[in-house]
Amino acid sequence: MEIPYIVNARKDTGLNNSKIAIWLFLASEVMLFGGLFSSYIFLRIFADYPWPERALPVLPGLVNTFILIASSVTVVFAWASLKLRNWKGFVGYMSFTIFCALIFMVLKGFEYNAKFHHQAAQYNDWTTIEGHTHPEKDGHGGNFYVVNANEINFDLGSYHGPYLDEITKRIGDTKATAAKNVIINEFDGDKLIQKPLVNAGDAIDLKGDDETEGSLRYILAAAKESFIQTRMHNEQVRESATRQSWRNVRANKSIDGGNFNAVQDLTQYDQAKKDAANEEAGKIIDSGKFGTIVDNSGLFKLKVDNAEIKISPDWGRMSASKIGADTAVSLLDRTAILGVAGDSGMDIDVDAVDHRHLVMKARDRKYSQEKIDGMIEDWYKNLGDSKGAEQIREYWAMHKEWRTLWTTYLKDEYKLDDEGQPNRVPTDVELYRITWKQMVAYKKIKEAGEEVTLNNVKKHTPGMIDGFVGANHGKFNHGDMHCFPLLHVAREDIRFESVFSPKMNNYYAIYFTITGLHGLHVIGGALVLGYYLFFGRKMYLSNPEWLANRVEIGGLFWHFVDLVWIFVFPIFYLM
Amino acid sequence: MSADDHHDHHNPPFWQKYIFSTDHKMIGMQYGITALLFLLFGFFLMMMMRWSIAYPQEPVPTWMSWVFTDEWKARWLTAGKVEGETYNMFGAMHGTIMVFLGVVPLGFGAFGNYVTPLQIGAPDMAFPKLNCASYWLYAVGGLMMCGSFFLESGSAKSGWTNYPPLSSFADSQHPNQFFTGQTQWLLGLVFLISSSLLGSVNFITTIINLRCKGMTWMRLPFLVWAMLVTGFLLLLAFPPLEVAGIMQVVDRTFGSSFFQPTGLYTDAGAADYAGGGSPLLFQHLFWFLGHPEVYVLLLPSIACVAEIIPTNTRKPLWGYKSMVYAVIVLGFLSFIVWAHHMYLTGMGPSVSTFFQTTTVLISVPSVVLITSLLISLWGGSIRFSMPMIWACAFLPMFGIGGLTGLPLAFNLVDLHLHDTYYVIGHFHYVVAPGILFGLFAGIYYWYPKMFGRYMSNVLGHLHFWPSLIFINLVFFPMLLQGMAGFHRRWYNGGDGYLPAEGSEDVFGQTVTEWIGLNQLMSISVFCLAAAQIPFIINLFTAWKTGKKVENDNPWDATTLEWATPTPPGHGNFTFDVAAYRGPYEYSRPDCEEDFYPQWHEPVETTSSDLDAGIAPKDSH
Repeated sequence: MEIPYIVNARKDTGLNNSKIAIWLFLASEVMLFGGLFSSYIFLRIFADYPWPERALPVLPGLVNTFILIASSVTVVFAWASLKLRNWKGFVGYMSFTIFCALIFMVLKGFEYNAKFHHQAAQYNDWTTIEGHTHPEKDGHGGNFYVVNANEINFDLGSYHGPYLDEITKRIGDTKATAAKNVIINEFDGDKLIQKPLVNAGDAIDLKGDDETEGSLRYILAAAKESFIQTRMHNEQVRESATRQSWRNVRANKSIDGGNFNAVQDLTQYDQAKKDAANEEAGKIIDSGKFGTIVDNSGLFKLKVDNAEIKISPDWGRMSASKIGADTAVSLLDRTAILGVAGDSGMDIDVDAVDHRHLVMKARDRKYSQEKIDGMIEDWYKNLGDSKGAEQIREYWAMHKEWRTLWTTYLKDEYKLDDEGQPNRVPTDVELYRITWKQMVAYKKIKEAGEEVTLNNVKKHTPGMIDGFVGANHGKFNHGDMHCFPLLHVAREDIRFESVFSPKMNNYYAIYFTITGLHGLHVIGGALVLGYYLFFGRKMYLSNPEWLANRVEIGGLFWHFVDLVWIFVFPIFYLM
Repeated sequence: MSADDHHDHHNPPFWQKYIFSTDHKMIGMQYGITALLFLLFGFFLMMMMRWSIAYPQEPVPTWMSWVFTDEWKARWLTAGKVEGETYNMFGAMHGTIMVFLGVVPLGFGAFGNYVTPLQIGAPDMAFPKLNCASYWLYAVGGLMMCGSFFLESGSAKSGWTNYPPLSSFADSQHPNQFFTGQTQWLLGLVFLISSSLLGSVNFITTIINLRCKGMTWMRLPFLVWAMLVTGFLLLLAFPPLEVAGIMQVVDRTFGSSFFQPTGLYTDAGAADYAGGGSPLLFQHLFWFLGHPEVYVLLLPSIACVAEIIPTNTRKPLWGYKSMVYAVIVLGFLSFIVWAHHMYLTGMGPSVSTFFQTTTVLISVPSVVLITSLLISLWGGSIRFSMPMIWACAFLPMFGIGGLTGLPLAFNLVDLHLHDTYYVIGHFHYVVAPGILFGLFAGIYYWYPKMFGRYMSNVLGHLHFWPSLIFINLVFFPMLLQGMAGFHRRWYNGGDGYLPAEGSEDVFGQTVTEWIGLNQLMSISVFCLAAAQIPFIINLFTAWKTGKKVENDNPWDATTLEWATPTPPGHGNFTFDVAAYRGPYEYSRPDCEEDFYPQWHEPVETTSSDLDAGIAPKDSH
């Protein structure tokens, strides 16, 4: 059996099978990216935060645009070479195409990487600072909840190995003891055997694995097993008691089979419930009676002596973060670390200060411009006395000078309209955000002892290459050059913090989702084209027309991938 | 092709013949059996729910609960009873399984795969390997979703519609987000969408390019048209849901807030999200698929009925062309009715009015279809064979389902009926006694072609009559309860609203008045389950013990699948097949027999045959 029209077109439709299929597939892809772009529009229209316009570095996006366009041209040349039966031409053009895909992905990787290492912290007044965190020496990022723990509660049903490892590592050699007696239940048929597992005050070995008797992991594993067994036992007791009481109710014929009388049934239900409660009362293994490891709220409590524990904010939440406050860090696996809050603040080399969200919120509340300006000034006043804070205040003073000059310039350059209003005014970005490039410029102006003028700022502003994928800390915050002031941000001052990942806001979320999916399409397309390049020789020799068809299909897909980027580039990088 | 190759194709090794088969008929049967198993599982979940609704204070009886391990029971049941969270789990998975893993794969996957290539005279699907991949993606996606019952988090719990922000917070408190029910549900969905993408591309290509000689568009059996439209619906409607699924995965695993509005609070305090997202966006993306999906469910089923009725009335399908046009219009319109699921979301009256209008419009092609089928019965000499009985039941049952939908289309009426049992009653009438009856008809109809034996009539009747009676006893009371205001998500069936003795609570009294129906419905469900036993026995025993077919065309039908050997071998046709006439040429006065198959060469070649590219017999 052979499927017809694999290579040659069917006469009445004029198409071969794969040509139809690829167009259908692309129609589906149009719906996929159509859905994504529609979501972009929806999210942007209904955004209740300042949408980051033109926030991405344009140069890598622009270069990538040309790279993809070039590769779309060469993939056609590759196909044409096959049609002309020119194998060498095919190899050359196709290699170039795949090389372009590679460059594209590498540039994408640089862009992503820069964002993942760029931290933002939003103050309680909605002012946002951006910058690089100072990481710990052992390589962890510099963003932690710090608690001086005196008790840790492990949830036996759900404690998570990696969290446990991190906690014990952080406790280190601090003394750890069991907080309460722990008795475990074992079941030999119906017979319950209770054994003490550990007594209150016993020292617990934190390093041993779950085979080492007396170690934390051993205790947790044994207690977990006992917890599950006990839960099973209790459920069986409750279930059979409830069943028995229902049998009793039915035997009394107090429920009339044919007559659906809901109220009457309800009293029967109540009776059944009471019966069940009496029945089970004696048999249930109660948590109050036997210590800690029973029933549905099984916890193992570990006492530690003021051990400093640092936990990534991604792992849970902290109830109070002011230094010295009583606090609890509850992790996703329901482990709770109780103690006194340490310094959970972040050290950030600030490369941008943004008040736009504050301004937006204030305008929503119909605050006057004076009040808004006052709120911004308050933020600078409250920054503290550190050297970094002083430097940021200087930047803000220079920025205010600059924006006055800029406002005047726009008024003079673009004139006033009929009603006497300027045709152009500075944007909110220009008014309320100090960018990293402006910081560099202000710093250089100050060092050179120059005046803040539009020309001077322009002269000292870094170019596109210097900030290829974003704020260039290597060049401008290194050696003698310290353009980005160091700020210590207390945790309780932060209402939201994130690196520039999808978590940051929906602009970055949709940016990563669309470019990520597009990147997967680039990789997929390159793999298929690469397959034709590296494994196509055999088919070329036996059936070159078929190979040409395949390359044509792959090329169509490649054009589509290019087309998607043609939409992605303007809406994310330029608009 | 060498002789060796030839030999290989006819005796492939076991795994190639039954596991990773590329033959559309085997893949169709794989789809069918897998889908029936999923349907059974979905039915079981529903029985657990119905128990909880009717007897909320009583432990699940042992004949149902024996499937659970003690450990699972201890985690998810309370004194043997189903409580809210577990009920939600069953509810979400019941809907998901029935729609995505049961009915669509049975209708489109099984019948589409088995019958379509045969009816257009093709040797196989255009892309047999993609077809195989499509089945396995479906199987893996389905198993991912169902496997999540055994995870620490349990399976998805936020309904088959999966609305955020509820679904975003469900299972969000887990260190390993990948292994939670909700995430597995989303990833499983991405697998299913990929599967249906491959399937639909394959179907449309096959129908466009692999029709045999003479098979012009207006000679296509209605089933093929229905599959073509279904293919387009799947192709174009599913990707936006994939977008929604991917975005929700990003929300869950990377902490973004696509669907989280600003200022959400949970019991743990302010949610740690940037906010600024929109739950409404998810609903739009979901229902952009969700509504066409209804027609993806329906069309294969109505197509089976449309094949069975002409064969068993011995007269042509009435209004074949109008049905074809209607199904195309239906396909178009189904893309612009989605927001009638969202009248109460606050999207605004003008939007609601637009979607109300389109929704009422779409009833026109639907009525064209159902009326044509009804009129097809008129004046026929009806053979009440097993498939025909199911097809006949389909018509009124689907009619009830469709007509009860009309009030819901009007957004004022929907204010009252939204999220009540009326809605449940409505769409279950469409899907269960409607669509599933049509698909049962299809199973009885093509079984002789698949296995060369008829299914047993006795068991068939034992299956049909109780099913018909009990399914109505299940769903009709829902319409009544719904109009009385019973909410669709009460896990205890309204038990919590029963008033105390002497209370003046009006709603409580309404609940008291109608709550008794819960027990009637639940008992009917258990009887309905029992009524499926004859079918299961029939399905597996008829394969060995059923009455053998007399010839390759046991129903004296006209379409091309009956021109193949029984069962059809690899490559399907043993002669150079061509279509010489329309698909439903029954009782032609100029023919001796009461049917004139498409593949019978005419005595004289007509001009339309020449147009269709068939040369006169002499010139061969």
